[in-house]
Amino acid sequence: MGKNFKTLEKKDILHFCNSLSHSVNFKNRINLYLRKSQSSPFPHLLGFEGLPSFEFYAEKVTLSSSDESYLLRILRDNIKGDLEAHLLHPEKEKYQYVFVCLDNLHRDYLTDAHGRVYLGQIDLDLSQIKASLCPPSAIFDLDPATSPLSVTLRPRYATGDFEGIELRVEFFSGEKSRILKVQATNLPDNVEIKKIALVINELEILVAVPQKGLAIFEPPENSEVFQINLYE
Amino acid sequence: MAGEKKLLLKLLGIINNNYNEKDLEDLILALVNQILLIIRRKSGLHFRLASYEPRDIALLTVSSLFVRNKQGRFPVLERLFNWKIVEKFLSASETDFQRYLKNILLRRLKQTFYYLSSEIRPERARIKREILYTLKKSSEYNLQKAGEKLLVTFIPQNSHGQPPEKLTEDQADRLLAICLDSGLGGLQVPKFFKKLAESLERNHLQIELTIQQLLEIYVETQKHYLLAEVSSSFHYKKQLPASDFHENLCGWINELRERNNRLLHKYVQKNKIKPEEKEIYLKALDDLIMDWQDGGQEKSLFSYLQNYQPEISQEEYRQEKRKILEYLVKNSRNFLKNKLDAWQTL
Repeated sequence: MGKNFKTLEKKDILHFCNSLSHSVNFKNRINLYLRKSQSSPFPHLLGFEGLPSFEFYAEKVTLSSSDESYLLRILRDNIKGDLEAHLLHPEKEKYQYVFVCLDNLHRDYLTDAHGRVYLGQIDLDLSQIKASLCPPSAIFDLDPATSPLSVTLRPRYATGDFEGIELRVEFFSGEKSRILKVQATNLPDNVEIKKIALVINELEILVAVPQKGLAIFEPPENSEVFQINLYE
Repeated sequence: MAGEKKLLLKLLGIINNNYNEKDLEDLILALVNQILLIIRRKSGLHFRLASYEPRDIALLTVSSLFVRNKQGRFPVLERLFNWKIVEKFLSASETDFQRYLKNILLRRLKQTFYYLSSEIRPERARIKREILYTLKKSSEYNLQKAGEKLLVTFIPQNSHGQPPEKLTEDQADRLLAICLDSGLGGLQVPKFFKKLAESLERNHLQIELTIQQLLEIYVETQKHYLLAEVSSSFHYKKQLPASDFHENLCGWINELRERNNRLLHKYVQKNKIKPEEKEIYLKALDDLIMDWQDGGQEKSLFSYLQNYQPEISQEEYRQEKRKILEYLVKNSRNFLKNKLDAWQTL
């Protein structure tokens, strides 16, 4: 019995270490498939409004979900050789701060407020690419300036099992800034939160792997409004 | 290569953003094991008070270090083990790094307890059963029913010719203070009551309290230990009494301040610094020593001095002050290091 417990505990610890160091196996995973249709002659219309003109880029590959509601375009910056991905969906909750998992690389990336993600100079065989998405299952808004030291939040946006979920947020004073303890409550038994993202602004996003639905964040000084996303 | 140095190299890899998942996983596992070791060595049964297992606390403590930012970097980890710190420990002895690492992990562990403090839910029913079982088996305590209540009495054996002082229900706070003073935190129920009996015997105190009050006293003692006293004695491999260490440390710091004061006085006599600058150097050194106790130096020496002399420029510091401050810091570090070494080899 004791040995079994120890083995189980060791397994749990290894699983935890793995979840912090490798990409997470999201339950709410949307698989993407290569689209064989002809590539758009005007990629800038879909993904590069306001950015340098499209001739700097060459569209490399387009993937879509089985219902074609999600469209992921992976493009190469021909000058730098960097890859960028652009996620498109009619609803902003489904392209903003979505995890893009590149299964070949065992890595996941988080899109920004425009559905864009910088992949950098990665070794990616685009003809063999396998990708999936994990959009947030619940989104909460928090204004630290007006919130008391401890507050329970209801989601601004939630899907399926996450509709009844609540988020308990507590503030603690840290060395340089306030520390945030975020804990999901009312979680159904079958639900496990794989990641929690604290969106501070366009540039600052912190991603934690929660333990028992709980994560501790140390946001930078003078952070104003937060968005907290839960991923299953 | 020894374990701690390997950890240091893995940390260096993370700071330089030059690591693979395996390195990261190894580092996380090593930190989890270090924290688990600390928790298990010191906690005993008091963790049953919380709704978190030691493993949960260890994982939570480590996970807060590995929060990633948008670039996939670890800002908290990189702040605690920045390039300057890692570089310093690469050339220092392994023991120094081990001490720093334990200090950092311990501080983070303590913070985790603090964050969880509102969630600690003692398993009162289970503890109460165990207290009852222990007291029934004990020959030192008596259990008797008084109406609905179950009263626990303890009468010291050695009367010293005088009747013992009696602590009753309305003096439960005093008994809690005795438990805390006697260092009963972190003890399992049987040992707790055995030591409590010894303490009551020593203080010539008689008690007559309800079982519920004793339960509360036990829980409060463990909570206090959990939140406040889990710290100091982890700093060193050898289990030395924490109270002795703090007492010694205060003495060493006072002695060091005196030494620095004398050195600075000599600088004033030689017209190397102005008399009014002496206090500025001393204050900067006080802050630095405080940081050494709390995880290590995190900013430049110039910043320490600038706190008390805001008008000082980098150029002025380099030309006139740096040599003096660096000499004082080197001296102070060696002084404390020698004191610590001497204390540990006692």
